[in-house]
Amino acid sequence: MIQYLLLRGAYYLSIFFGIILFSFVLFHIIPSDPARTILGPNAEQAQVEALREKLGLDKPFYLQLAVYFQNILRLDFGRSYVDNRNVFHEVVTRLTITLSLIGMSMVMTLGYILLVTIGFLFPSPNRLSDLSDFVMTSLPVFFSGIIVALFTLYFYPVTSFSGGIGSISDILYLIPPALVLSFYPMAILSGILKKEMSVILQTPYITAEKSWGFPDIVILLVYASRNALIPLLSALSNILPALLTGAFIVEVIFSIPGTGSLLVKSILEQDFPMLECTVIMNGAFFVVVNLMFESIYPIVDPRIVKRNHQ
Amino acid sequence: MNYKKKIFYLLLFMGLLWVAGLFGSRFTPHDPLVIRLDERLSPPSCVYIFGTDELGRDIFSRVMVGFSNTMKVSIMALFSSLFIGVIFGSIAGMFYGTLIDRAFNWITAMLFSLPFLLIVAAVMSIMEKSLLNAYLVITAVIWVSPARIIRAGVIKTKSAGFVLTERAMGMEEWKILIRSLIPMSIHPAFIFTFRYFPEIIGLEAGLSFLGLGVQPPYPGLGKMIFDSINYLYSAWWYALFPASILFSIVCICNIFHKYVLERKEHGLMEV
Repeated sequence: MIQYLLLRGAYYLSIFFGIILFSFVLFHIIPSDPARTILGPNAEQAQVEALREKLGLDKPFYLQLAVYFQNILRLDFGRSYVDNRNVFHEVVTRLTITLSLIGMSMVMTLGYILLVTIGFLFPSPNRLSDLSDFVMTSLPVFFSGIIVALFTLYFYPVTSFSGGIGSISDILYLIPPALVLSFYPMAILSGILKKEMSVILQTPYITAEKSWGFPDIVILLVYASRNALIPLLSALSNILPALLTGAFIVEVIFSIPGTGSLLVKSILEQDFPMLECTVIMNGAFFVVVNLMFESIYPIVDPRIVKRNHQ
Repeated sequence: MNYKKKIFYLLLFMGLLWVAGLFGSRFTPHDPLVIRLDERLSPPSCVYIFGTDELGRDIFSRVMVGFSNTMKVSIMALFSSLFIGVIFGSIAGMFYGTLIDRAFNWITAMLFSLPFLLIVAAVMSIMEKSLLNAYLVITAVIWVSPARIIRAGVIKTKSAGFVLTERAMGMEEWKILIRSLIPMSIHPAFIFTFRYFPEIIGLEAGLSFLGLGVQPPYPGLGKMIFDSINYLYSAWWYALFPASILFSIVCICNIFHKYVLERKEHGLMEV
């Protein structure tokens, strides 16, 4: 078990390393002269030279890479080109808001999935839920976001967002955007659940439990759903990046000061340290979440570790 | 329905979308760039079917041009990503288990670990903002999905009986790859890649949304939605119509995918 986790951890660490390398190459090697970008086209040559020296751009690139890694390990991502704020602090604040938005949509998705699971108790042909799944997968975030935003504008009472998740009104404000975000995972996960369940409910062990006289709801929620959990979890970890993409757009539509709004702003202002830090922090988030998933898998299904050993 | 028929319908469908895009950019009822400030934000009427935006430009014409831009970029990106995917995927599948395959897996896992929009936006931010660059960057990211499928297909068919026969008859490895392995895995990959078509459309719209696609004053669907957010309360039509066009494209693609490409008929030749 520990060996399994260590192996997976090393793998994800190497991925994170790759992301850092990617952002280094993108923002430090390809642009011909970052110092010129910072100071603008009107700056004098001597100023540019001085800044180059200060930023360490005159050193060979492997030294630059070493310094870069050192800075990242110390969580020092530099300061914004535009207003000289601490980039790391800003990105983490924004990312927390994005993550709470995603967390809320996850709660909604979980509720929906539970509903679909309980739906198996009833002998309905699941037609309606198939249709809603289909529509929900076809909803681009742009469309559902705009529709929900239009409705909230006219009918939803909570219109203020303080910029944190402190008060109840903030949480209420996040409900419509979280709903928009959860359409896609709801559809994907319930599709997978239905497919898995239709197989699982035919297996002999379910018949055995039925004949022992367990109530249907216990069989469904305790025995059958455990087998469906692994595909659901892995699907969830796969759609997480897509969820973040959706969150960026939804945030801009609902004017929530999260990573998406930061992205728009820093692209507009050519604020590269901000973008760089956003990329790396998103990578870090991905690595942490995936490690969490990987440590849940063996608990849900102990066979995974054994399979890995063989 | 066999793969040949499916591919034929798929190509027909893409061709129709392409033609619709071309049609959209040529025959706009108004000039999408002409500014009429006296008619700014006027609601949908007989003259302006979708209303006008904050500078009095006809939204219907702008949506048509934006649609054609989106279609151009997404269809081109789909085909080129399939092409790149075939090359890299078959190489990785060929060298299954070696260092090349590991490197391939590592790179694809890395690209999948970040939100596609974030990668594309980060790369576009240091490049010149144009439609061509948007297409190049989207292709450079999206190729991982077909490549993974091609790789899996090549690995699967590598141990099939007829491949062993070919090898026993003394055919060279690369010849087997080109003559048997790639044709065997390219059809499923092509059909599977189409599942990513809505994602490519979303990516293009997202780029335009972030201001990294088509540059103003030329219209892009995402950019129009971004601009309209400030006018959500006063002008609902401004946001609604570009977003609905995106929704209908994605919906049509999904319907096509579900009812034509994924129809299950168990024949002998279906792999």
